[in-house]
Order: sequence, then C-alpha cells, then structure tokens
Amino acid sequence: MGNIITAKNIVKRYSSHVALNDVSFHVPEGIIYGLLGPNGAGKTSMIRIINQITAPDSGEVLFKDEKLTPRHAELIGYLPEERGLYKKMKVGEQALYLARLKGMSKADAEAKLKAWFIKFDIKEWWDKKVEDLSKGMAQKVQFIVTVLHEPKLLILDEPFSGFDPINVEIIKGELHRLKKEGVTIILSTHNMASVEELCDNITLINQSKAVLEGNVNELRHSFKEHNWQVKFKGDDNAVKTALNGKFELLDLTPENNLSVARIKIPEGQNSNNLITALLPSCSIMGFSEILPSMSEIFISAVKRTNPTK
Amino acid sequence: MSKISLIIQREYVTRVRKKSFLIISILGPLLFIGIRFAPRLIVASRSEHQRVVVVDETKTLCGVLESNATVNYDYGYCNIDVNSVKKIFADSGHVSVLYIPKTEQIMEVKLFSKSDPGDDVVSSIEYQMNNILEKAKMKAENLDQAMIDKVKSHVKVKDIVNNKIANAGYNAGLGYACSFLIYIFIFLYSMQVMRGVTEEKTNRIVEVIISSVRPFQLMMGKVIGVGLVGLTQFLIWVILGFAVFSVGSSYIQSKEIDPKNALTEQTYKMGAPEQNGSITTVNTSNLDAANDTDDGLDNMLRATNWPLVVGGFLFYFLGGYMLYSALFAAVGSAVDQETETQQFMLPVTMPLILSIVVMGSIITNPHSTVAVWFSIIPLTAPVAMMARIPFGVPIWQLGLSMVLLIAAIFGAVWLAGRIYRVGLLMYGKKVTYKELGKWLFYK
Repeated sequence: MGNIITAKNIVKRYSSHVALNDVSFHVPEGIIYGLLGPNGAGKTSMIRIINQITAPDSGEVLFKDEKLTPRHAELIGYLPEERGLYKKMKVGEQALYLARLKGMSKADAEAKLKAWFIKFDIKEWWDKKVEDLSKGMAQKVQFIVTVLHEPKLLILDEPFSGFDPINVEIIKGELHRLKKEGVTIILSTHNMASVEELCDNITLINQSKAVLEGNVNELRHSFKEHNWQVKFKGDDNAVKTALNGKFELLDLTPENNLSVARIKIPEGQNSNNLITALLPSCSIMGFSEILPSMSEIFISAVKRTNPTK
Repeated sequence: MSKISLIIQREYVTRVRKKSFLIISILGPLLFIGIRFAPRLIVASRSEHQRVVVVDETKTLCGVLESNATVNYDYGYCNIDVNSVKKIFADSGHVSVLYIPKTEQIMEVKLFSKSDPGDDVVSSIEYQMNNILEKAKMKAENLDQAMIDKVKSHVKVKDIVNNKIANAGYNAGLGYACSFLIYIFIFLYSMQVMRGVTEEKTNRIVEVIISSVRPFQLMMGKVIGVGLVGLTQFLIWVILGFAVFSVGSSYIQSKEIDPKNALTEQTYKMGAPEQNGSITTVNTSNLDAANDTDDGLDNMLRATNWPLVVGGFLFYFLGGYMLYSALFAAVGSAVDQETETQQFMLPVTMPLILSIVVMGSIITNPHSTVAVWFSIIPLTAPVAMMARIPFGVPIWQLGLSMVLLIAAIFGAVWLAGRIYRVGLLMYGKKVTYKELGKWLFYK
C-alpha cells in the first residue's frame, strides 16, 4: 500500500527559533504511526502543518501523492493536545456544528452522532451544557467529534491524557477497530508503553529534526545490545566461573527459587556459545534476548543528538 | 450550506437566544426615552415638597407669590420675627425660610434651609419676585400692559437652505443622535467580537475549528454573525421605540387638545408632498404657528434629506462596525485572557473616543477644518461624518470618506486576518507590538 502522508524537507521558522528543520518522513496507509519527541521538539508544528493550520516556510506535504489542499481537511480527523469545547453550548448541538464544519450534512451527522452516543453510553448528555460535564466526559465527546465524519487519516495528539484507565481501554479498542477498517492513525504521545502497544512505525523528532524513523520492531532490533536474560536453577558462583571472562555478567538477581542473570554477548560470540558454556554449571529454565524498550531507544536517541552539556 | 454561513448561523443563534439580548432589546428604547424625559421627571418629583415659609418685613409680597410645582409658599408666619421662625424650622429638611428684610428697594432676600433646596427652587423664587416687582414698578411709572407688549420684540431667524426650511438645532440633534448610536453600536458589538475570539482561544476549541475551516473564514463568520445580531437589535429598537413613541405621543395629544395644532397638521397633510417646504408651506407655518416656539417639527422632518440620512447612517453604521470589529478580533486573538486586552485596546479605541470628543465642535461648526478631516479619516469618519450629514456635506467629501472607509475595511480585515491566524495558536506569551508586526509576515 502507498503512503497516505509524505512530508518532504519541511522547514518552519518562527521569529525566535526554528521549529522544524528539514524534516522528511512518510506514513504508510493503514497503520498506526507514532510521532514522538521531547517537549518543544516540533511535533505540534508538524501536526499543524499536516492539518493545514499553518503552512511550512519550505518543503511540501503530499496526501496520497497529491499536494495537500483545503479540500483534504474533510478526510482528516484531528484531536489536538489542547482541546476544548464551547462551554455554554449544548453537547449535541455543538457536536452537530463541528461535524457540519467537516462537511457532513445535518441529517447524516445527526444519525451518526446518535449511534455514537448510544455506543459510548452518553445518550442522556445530548441536551446538557458542556460546562456541566467532567473533563473525561468532555474528552469522550471530543473523540466522537474527531472520528464522526469517518476520516481516512486520524491525527491524535496525546489522546489518552485526561482519561481514566477504563476509558483509555475503550479508546484503544476504537483505534484498533478503526485501523482494521483501513484508517491511518498518527499518534503523538509521550507514553512509550502505548507506542510499543499500538504503533507500527514511528518518527522521532528532536531539536527540530527527524532523528529516527522506521518500524517499531525493526528499531528495537537495531538498537539491541546483544543482552540476554538467563533464568536458571543452580549455584550462582558456578555460573560466574562458567562465564569465564568470555561473557560479561551485567547483573544477577534471585527470583523466587531461581536466579536471573543478564549477560552481554560480546562480538565474535553468539547465543549458542553462551548456552554451551552455561550447560555444565546449572539447569537453564529460560533463555531470551533483551530488546530495548521504546523508552530506552527514545532516551538514547535524544541523548545522542543533543550536544553534550 | 457553506462553512462560513454555518459559522455565521452559530454566532447569530447563540447570541440572539441569550437572555441578555432580550433584556437589552427591551431596555434599550426605554433607556433612550428615559434619558429624554428623565430631567423633567426628576424636577417634577423633587420639587413637590419644597415648602417655603415667607417672612416679609416689607409687607408687600405676603400672599402675592404663587405656589407652583416647584415651590409651595406658606404665609402663616409672615409677620413673625425671622429668628424665631428660623428656630421653629431649624430641623425640618424640606422647609426653607424666605426672609425679605425691610429695605427701600428689595435687592436681596435670604433663603434659610437645613439642606440645599436646589437651583430650581431658587430660580423659581427669583423669577416670580422679579416679575412681580417689575410689574409693580411699571405700574408706578404709569406704563400699561398693552404698551409693554407693543414694546417687546420677538425676532425669529428662519434658516432656509436650498429653499428648504432648516434648523441648526434640529440638525444638530439628528446628527448627534445618529453618531451617538453608531458609536454605541460599534463599541458594543466590536467588543462582543473580541470577547468571542478570546473565548474560543481560552476554551481551546479554536484548533479543532481551524482544522476544518480557514482562520479567516472563522473570523469573518464571527464578524458578520455578530454584526447581524447588532442589526437585529437595532431593528427591534426602532420598532419598539416607534411603537412606544407613537403610543406616548397619541396619549399626550389626547390630553392637550389644541385646535390650532390640529389645524396646522391638517394643512400640512393637505399640502402636496412635492412642495418640499416651498413658500406656501412657509406661509402656512407662519400663519398658524405665529407664536409657536417649536418651529413646526413636521416641516423640518420634511426638509431633511431622508434617503441621504438613512443611507448614510446604514453605511457608516455597518462600515464602522466592520472596520473596528476586525481590529478588535485581532486584539482578541493576540491575548490569552480578556483581562490582558487592555494594552492593545487603547490604540484601537482611541480614534473612536476622539471622534466622540470632538463631536460637539463638529456639530456647532460642521464645516470647520477639524470636522472635514475627522469625517474623511476612516477611523473617525463613521461618527464624525454622520454628525455632519444632516447639515449637508459636499458630495466630494462624502464620496472620499466612503471610498477611504471601504479601503480601510479591506486593509483592516487583511491586517486582522494575518494577526488572527497566528495569535489564535499562541499561548502563554506576553505579546509585544514588535511581535505582532512579525506575525504579519509569517507564512
């Protein structure tokens, strides 16, 4: 499948700083794509450019190989990080208004809204004013409004903030369902656990530049440091002797009545050699490679690109 | 339905449905009527109770001064010593003691009160005393009333401009009313635009909306929507005001049936409308209203160039609103909270306030240099030009003023649009003028 979004050499300058400096990436259709980066890295600037809220100083964004134009706005659903609703307006009326701004007809919007309100069990809120809703309730309404017009591309900026764990699960379920239906989702978040859980591909933006792009699994493999975890039953000292300086023991901790060792395999050696070395000294109960978490990759990539202070 | 009309519709409906809209719609005309009649009512209500106890050592005025709406004379203490009378009423709030000392000629009298009885009471007493004393003196000099009436002269200037009866006072009133309405309207509704913009920004709904529509559409939708609210309000005022006025005046007419007035009105109605205040009309008005101080309001209403006044009013009413509401929208977008708007408000409101300040001088001298310039510069033109229109304005000045205003509206809308689209997304930053300047050139 092709790319739904292609960003080419995007540059965005503000009076005091450069928000995006020659950023390029592409988002394949039908996946969940993570847009990551520390605060102030330029994620929101990038998202606003895709939403045509601002324009880049140079570079271009393609939507399915077409240059982005205002009529694409109806194909995109956007949930900004800083989101709100008109406080004095009634929930149903407001949702209808926002849906119609996305180009839906009144009847269509009303029918679909009613279905969503039943699905999320918030039917009785229709005639309530927004100021009477809790923050979590308002977030639900905002999510509905974002997806109501059945966009091909969904852009969610920190979608889980402000939700309780139960509602986070509901939203995650909806995201999986939407992905199955072929919707592409761009997710900007600081929550690395949800990136590992949800995202297929990511781009990491740091200091206005894209410093890392690719498939989450591939990235984790490429960042691996050949560390392995061995669970065994036996004498700790015998194991230490067996490693015999050929393998580096990172740490050793007891777990229930087993021991867990983390061992680094140096270049020139492989996992089979490690097993062979260990076999005489203990009985191996578990053996697995340790892949770095997205959080570790994030931190190491950010550290690598930041000048040492 | 296009997106901008959706926005206009929302802005309009949410505002018109508010209770405050209904309240202002009803209270507005009442307020105007209140301002018009309040002075009379206040005078009438306040002076009813002012009791004036007369102590007259000259014995000439005792029982002569007549009680009226303002003063209620009490002659029960006329011949008692002033100091003891003063003592009796020392603690009475609404009683004054009028002391007329014995002198050759009454030159000065004294009014003792616990609390100030006010100008009206004092001048009413002065007026009556002077009248009575004058008449007494004339009688003493053997002048009779017929002679005095003959000597008195009543010259009235009939102001005739382009063969139409004009009246500077009436024109001033019309100009003042129209300009003041425009001023109020611009202020009231431009502020609403500003407040709406800041509200959307602080609510953080704005980013969702401008991912669907362009910031410019949102801004114009708001400006137009709020403008329509204002127009609706104004229409309600006109209709309500007209209704109240006609009910009120028919009530007044039924109370004071004046055959001469009725006749005058009939004469006017019979006269063909094309006559436009020609000589015949002037004559009838001279005949019928020989000692009419009001100068025939009907006549002047006919003399006014209504299409010009109404057209001008609508043009400057809407044009002025467009110009200022765009600027106010920009101000609203540049700040995070309504309280921070102050710093940018001053330069925007300055010309408007200035034009209301010089309005007095414009009305007294509608063709002065100041009046001409103020009515041509777009930021002051809506108020200043409207004040001049009833007096008649050279066509080139009117044309120039209108063309410049339209150009200024385009300029202001462009400028505001540039600031608006950047300002909407700027949070937590204290914005300076320098920064605003840079925003104009962002892509």
